[in-house]
Amino acid sequence: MKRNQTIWILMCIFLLMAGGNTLRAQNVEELIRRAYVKYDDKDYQGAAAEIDAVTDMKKGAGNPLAWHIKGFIYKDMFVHEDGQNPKSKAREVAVDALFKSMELDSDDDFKANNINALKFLASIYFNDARDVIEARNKQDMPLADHYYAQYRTITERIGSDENLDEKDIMYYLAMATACRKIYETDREDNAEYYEKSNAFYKKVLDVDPDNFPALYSLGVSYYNKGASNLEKLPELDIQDVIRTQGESMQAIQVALPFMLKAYEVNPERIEAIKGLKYIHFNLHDHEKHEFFNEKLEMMEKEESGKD
Amino acid sequence: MRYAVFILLLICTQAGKAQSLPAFEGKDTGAMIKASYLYNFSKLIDWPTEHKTGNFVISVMGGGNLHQELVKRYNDKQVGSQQIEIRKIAKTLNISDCHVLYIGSEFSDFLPEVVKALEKRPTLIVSDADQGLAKGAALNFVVDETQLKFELNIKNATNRDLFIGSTIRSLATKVE
Repeated sequence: MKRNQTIWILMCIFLLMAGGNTLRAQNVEELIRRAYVKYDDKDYQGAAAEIDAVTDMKKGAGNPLAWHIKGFIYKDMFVHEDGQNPKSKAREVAVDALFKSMELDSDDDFKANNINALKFLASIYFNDARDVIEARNKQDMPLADHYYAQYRTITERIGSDENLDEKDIMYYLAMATACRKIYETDREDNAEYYEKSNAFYKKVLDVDPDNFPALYSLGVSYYNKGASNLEKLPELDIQDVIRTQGESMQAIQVALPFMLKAYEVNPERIEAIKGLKYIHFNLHDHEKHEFFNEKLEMMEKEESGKD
Repeated sequence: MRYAVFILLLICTQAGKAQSLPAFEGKDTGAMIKASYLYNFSKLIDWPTEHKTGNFVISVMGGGNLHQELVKRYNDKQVGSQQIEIRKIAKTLNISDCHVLYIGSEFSDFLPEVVKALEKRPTLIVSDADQGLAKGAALNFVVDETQLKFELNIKNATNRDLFIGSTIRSLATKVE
């Protein structure tokens, strides 16, 4: 009797589980359908609640369609409800969901749409980075790095044919300019932005060692630092004059190889020739100063002849 | 899809415009340093008592932007109780009394005549010349690698009743 009771209980449990699985399968599809209906009605909050329930379920968690729809629900929540607010959490959820869908989508049923949605979200991250850079608000500058990193990660993962090296260069140059301009607004308070600017120019050179704007800008940066250091001379006694001069000349010497390389990369750029003229003059190398001065005069004559 | 690509291109061109080449701060660092040295020489050298009244006159013959630097940064300063006065003078032997006379490199050949014309007047002559000390200057600017320094001829100063302080003596690259 006891043995029959045990078998009967086990059979009930088995039947319940089998029935439950069928029910759960029906529930996943039903919830996905309900989520989609609400999404279609632009009830993004309602749609999100439904689809979250699906992806929280064990069965739903392995469903590429569920993640695909979740991605679109949260993408549109980000666009239509959050107004593309850079701080919106919905965007991050959308990105994660779309990548999850791609991971599970072995038949590539949703691949094209997932990629398009991710490209769109990546472009918004790029925009947000640009906006932060243009605003030049010190507190927000780390956000530019975060947004750009997100743009880059998404673009890489979807296997886009965008040239990321070019984008990196564009981003680093923009950040270098922004940091330099922050530094120039108050050189004392914003002293750290001088080195931050230089660090971004050097990142450009890591990617493209012959990048003229980076080479030239580093030359100017070190030269200007050296020259502006001498502004305090009127307040210094003679020992400090000698020391400060040493520091300034060191900085101007650091400028020289960058400016020379810029000139090598593009000998027709008048900015580099002017730069070398200034640098050699201030390093008391009169021969080289004269050489670049004559070259500059010749180029300026040619330019005015063309007008 | 095309719309997204268009947006991306627009963003890229705008981002490309966002960076601009920085401007050179075209300062004449040589003039800045020389001006500072002249000011410090004035404070570290002793003039005869009768020349410690009225303005403290620094005259500049040539020297490119040096006169401009002195006026810009030192015109409102004092040496002791004397207000600094900066004068720019042409190439001439008719030189009014001044405490310091700087002669630019472009007039280095003229230096011996100036020294003679000033006779024994208590004027500190500062030159920027090859063999400036031999030509009669008390202090002469020299370039040591990339740095502007100075050399000293004590006799060319003491002959004019000028006393050179120990600081200048210790910092000169050469003391004759």
